[in-house]
Amino acid sequence: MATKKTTAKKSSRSRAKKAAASDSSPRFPRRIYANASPRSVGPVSMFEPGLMADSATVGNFASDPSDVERAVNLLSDAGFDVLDANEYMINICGSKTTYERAFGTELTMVERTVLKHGEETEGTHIDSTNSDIDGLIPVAGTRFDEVLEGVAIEEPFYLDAPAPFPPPVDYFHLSVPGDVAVGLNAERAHRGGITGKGVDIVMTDSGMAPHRFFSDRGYRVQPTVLGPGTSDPTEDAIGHGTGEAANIFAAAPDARLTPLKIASASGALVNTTAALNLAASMNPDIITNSWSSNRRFGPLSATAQAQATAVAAAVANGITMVFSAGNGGWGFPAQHPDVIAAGGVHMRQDGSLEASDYASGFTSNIYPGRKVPDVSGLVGMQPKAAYIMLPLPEGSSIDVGNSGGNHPNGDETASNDGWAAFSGTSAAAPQIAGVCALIRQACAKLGPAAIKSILMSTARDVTTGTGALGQNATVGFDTATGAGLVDARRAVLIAKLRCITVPFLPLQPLLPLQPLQPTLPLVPFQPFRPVTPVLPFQPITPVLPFRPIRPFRPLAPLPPVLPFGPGPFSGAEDQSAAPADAGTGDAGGLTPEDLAELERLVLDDDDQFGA
Amino acid sequence: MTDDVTTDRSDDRDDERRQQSATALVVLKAADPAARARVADQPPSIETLDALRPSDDTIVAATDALRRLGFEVGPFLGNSMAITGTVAHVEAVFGVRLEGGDGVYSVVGDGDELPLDALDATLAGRIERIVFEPPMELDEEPTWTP
Repeated sequence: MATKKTTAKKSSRSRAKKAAASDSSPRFPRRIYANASPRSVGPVSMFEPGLMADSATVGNFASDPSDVERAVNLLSDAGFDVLDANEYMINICGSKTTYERAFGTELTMVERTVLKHGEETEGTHIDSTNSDIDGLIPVAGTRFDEVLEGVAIEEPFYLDAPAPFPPPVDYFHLSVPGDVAVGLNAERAHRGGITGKGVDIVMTDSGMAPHRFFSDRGYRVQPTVLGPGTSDPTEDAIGHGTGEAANIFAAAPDARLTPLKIASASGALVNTTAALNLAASMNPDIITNSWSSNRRFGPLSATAQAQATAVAAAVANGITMVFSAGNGGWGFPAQHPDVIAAGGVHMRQDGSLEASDYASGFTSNIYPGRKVPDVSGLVGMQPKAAYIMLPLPEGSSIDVGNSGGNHPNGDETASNDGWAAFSGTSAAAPQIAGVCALIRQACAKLGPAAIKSILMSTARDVTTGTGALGQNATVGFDTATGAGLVDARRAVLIAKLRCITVPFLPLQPLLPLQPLQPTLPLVPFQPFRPVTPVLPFQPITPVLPFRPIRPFRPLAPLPPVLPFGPGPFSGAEDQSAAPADAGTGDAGGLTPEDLAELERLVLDDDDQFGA
Repeated sequence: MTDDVTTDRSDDRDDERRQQSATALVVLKAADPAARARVADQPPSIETLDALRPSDDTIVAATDALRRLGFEVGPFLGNSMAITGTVAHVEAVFGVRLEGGDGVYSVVGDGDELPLDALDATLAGRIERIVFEPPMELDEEPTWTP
């Protein structure tokens, strides 16, 4: 069994603090870089306004080697570090004071419009006060006049938006969206037209930064909402929320995601109950939460009580809440009985499954009888679960912290490439939230309890491996993986089936039939008068009068028909739980293929992967 | 001279701290104390929700009163809502000194709970407690020693 340790968590905090500190107000850098141009052999300076060097004219800007050497010596004497020198340029660096003293100028900082990560914003530039050309330090009247044409201060350059595709690495891992979608068996649901369209998901996390992974694929990401105590809605200094968002879209590419930032500038997750209240007020279909506190024993603290009450109220309002179970801890609120607790299953390269030894599973000591997790998503293995290559802001704390090294101790990517391999039950929660979105699209009338029931009844059982807390995976439900790995295709099929039945559930009691008005007694036929026999017939016996018919008694109302199939939900509960703005639930209709597959599911509980 | 500079910097830092915003969670009293008492030993869930719920009047009155005190009041859910104000404002209203920063606060010498006795008796009578939430942890990193 793993040993509890809390200090490991502190590393992310310190990384985030460093990231936050780097964003302090602009100050002159200790070393300022510039390129000094030695006198050209041609008649004009390369700094002449309007002049553009090209391959045909560049020779005019070459310098005599002896001039270059003299310039290097002068610059060194003035206190500059000469980093490189060639016939066109001398690359130098020095302090602000060194520049100002050598060239008799004053350096200033100015804000100019730049593109950062594909977005237009302000960037700080260093400039000289005695030149109209941006970034140029003139040398006229100084001791450098004979050997230099001028000095160009380096401008800041920014990485373009991180690449939409991950860097290649030489170990088995899952990519998004493709591999994760396949692992969750969501691809086939997508091809059937169930993609999460029309479903709203709120993700409480460290924030979300722009990344080409999302924009190039046209994912529906709403502007980030700031939780109490947070700032800067476009920044995700940790990188966690940005990465986990990719897990949502792997499962539900057409869902609409609203990130709700709960990380403060130092990286602490603050005011989480207040944030849940805010999230619920937005009335989404699903709220996914990849965070927890470690609570092995009760009683709950005052804040945890309030948080548990808020969670219960959100679910009672029809919002499906997904929480990560933890990575070796007793995750709370995951152990709350009304939420979907997300555990971890590791899919090997051959597609076989085992319980992740990184993910928590346990029986709650706080909620009697509550077993965690309910179901699992895709999660890596110890030591670091570097398993799913996810997009995140370049240079964010996870990008830096997971970079380099050799897998499994590092993710073998650069520290500023905007990609990192990570997972944990943090990854499982958004994957499961995405599958919930598919279910919700397939049948908008299904509420949280029904969605959870469907996830559990359709999950792929995992029978090998041991969870982080020593729980073994066995046949059937266990506390290593819960019901197993979520299976989006099967879940959607059952949701469609449930939705077909829902219109008949619950049947409104039949109105009692109005009592039939009693039929008036028939007037007795008057006895025929005996016909005078023509022939010697016997007189006809008179017909007896009819007895009046008794009125019908009204029928008793018929009791409503109960829903069929597994699961504790009732039609009434789910009808009321459906938000007003939920989808139509018509699921686009069942296809013949759906029906055939449903039949197979019901008849032989076929493994959809054909394993 | 050195002492003066140190004091000035310390004052600046304190001013900056007092202008940061602090959020606390206001837990309202349940509408039915007897029902609340019956579920006192049970952790909250949908099954106990009705017993924990304050009355609508309590929610509206507490929200209005807290707004009048100058706080930004967040949405109500379950039995709680958030109030946000500057550290200086929280300290002034509740008569306490806060420590911490960057979204994580506590009351000096008094833990995570703000005292209600500084509030108007009617408002205080509607509130069960006002607490600062402790930070949570992302479930990306392990809880154990890898």
